[in-house]
Amino acid sequence: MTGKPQGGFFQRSRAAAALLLFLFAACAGKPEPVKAFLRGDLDAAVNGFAAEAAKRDKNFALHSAQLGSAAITAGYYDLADQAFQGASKVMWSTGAGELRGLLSLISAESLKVWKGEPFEKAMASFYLGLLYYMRGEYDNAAAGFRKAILANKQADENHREEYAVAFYMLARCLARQKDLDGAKVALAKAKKIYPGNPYFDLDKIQRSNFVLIVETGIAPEKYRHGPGASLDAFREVKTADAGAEVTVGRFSLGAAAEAFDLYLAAKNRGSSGKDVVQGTKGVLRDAAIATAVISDNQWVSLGAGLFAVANQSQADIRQWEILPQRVAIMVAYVPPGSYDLRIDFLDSSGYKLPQYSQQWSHVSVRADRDNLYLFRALPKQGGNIERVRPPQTKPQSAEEKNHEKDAG
Amino acid sequence: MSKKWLLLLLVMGFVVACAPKTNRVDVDSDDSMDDTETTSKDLETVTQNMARGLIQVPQIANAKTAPRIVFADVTNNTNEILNKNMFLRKIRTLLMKNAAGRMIFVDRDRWAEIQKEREMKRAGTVTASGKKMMSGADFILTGVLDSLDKASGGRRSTYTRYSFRLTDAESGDIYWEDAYEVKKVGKAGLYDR
Repeated sequence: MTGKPQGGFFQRSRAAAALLLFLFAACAGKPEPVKAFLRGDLDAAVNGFAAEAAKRDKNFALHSAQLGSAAITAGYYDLADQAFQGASKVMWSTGAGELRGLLSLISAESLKVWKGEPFEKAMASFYLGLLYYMRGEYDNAAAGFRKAILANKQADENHREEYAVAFYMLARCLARQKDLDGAKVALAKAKKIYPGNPYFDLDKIQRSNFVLIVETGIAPEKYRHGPGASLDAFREVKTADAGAEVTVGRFSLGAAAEAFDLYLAAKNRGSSGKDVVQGTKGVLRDAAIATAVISDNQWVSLGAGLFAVANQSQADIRQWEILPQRVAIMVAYVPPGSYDLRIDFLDSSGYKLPQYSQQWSHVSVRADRDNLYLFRALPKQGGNIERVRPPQTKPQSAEEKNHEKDAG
Repeated sequence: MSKKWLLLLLVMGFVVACAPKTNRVDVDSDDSMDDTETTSKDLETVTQNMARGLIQVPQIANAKTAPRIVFADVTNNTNEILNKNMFLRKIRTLLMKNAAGRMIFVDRDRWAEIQKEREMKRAGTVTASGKKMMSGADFILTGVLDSLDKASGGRRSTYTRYSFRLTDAESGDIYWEDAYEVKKVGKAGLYDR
């Protein structure tokens, strides 16, 4: 190209590029498996995320974590275990994706291998803890909850011990392992965050055998801001569901009590050196774009334009989209047997949301261990819970076999 | 060689370097995931040390009749979800290979199946070569895995202690205990939060 570029051509090109960008942004909705999950079609979500995770690309941990979420909600516990283990391995690795990580410092941040925010790492470990708790493997469950607490230690200095639900579940595990002093310490940390939670009580832990984990809302949304859209932040996604009431058989067990808010965890995640790099990239990109537009020298314009193209400063906004916003617990003693269970999800004013009500049958309460169930406020859920059967992968110990034999 | 060929070779080298691949490596090599958790190398080192230590216990080494050992559960007090009984199974395999006949292992994991087989033999449903008493254990081997973890920003350190002990199944006396300790420190890249 020779001679000074024509202003009209550049203006037309910019307008066309802006229109294309707008159309692209308008068409870019949520991925299909995410939509399937949110409309309550859990099998479609599981299949969709499994297909994505099978690609084993830079998003492997993200897809595996989402696969785990969908699978644990649908009751495919073995698949959920496998998916969360795979996701955690990458999320906690310091070596995986080194080259991509280095490239992301000088170009688009989304080039790097996704390893998640501290609260996302924490949730992957928390779900693993729940899976092992369901199996009655309390030491491995405690390991999952401890690791969830550890993940949150990467958050802002003043908010490192706010994972109340993980502290509570850790307290339950320790109490089941007869470590009552350890349970008291963990429970005190949970109480510090939610002093009004009626279930944060050692006596209730010891007397209860039925634990419900109830998830409501949708994960806070990650968005770009700052120079060159180089920084990321989280905003709350408002949903109608805010709480839940539980009925087992003919008895109302009352309301589930909030024990963790992911929006607060996301907001308090803290900053890191990566944010400084991103901010610098954004300022340089904005400066390059401004230079490209206002410079009279075509070579300076071209150079600045090429620099702006090469220096993709936009923040990486990949996120675990199907996480809930709030995690609540409901704890009770229920005599062993098989029950109907009803969960009514409530809005912030306490009114029932009929589209989310769930009616489950054949909810089994075993005598030999704690019974933990996880429910999520999603449409079209309910039915025979034997579909959501307890996992059977744990090799039975001799004692368990003898117990079953004696019972038989 | 012309510049064009040199460039082509460089591009091909880059493509080959970036191609996905799977290598077979030694089980006692460090893995490339670079985290601070238990690896196959730890499993190898722990189990070999423990098996070596067990063979040298005087009550086993000098026993006139081979003592019977039961492997009980391992308790996991770490921050890592582990297939914890893998340690005991690996120790047993090593002992079976290297100290066959000097100790006998009692299989309690198959208790129900053995009972069922015995019942079928007693009932004449299947053939039997003679009655035997179920073996009692002379010693119980147990393990505890502990860890101390610290994390701050992108830094993390994990101290893990894998300890095992041999207890007399009659008196409760502890005849042997050994531990393997490892501390690992990791730092995430600047690009990882």
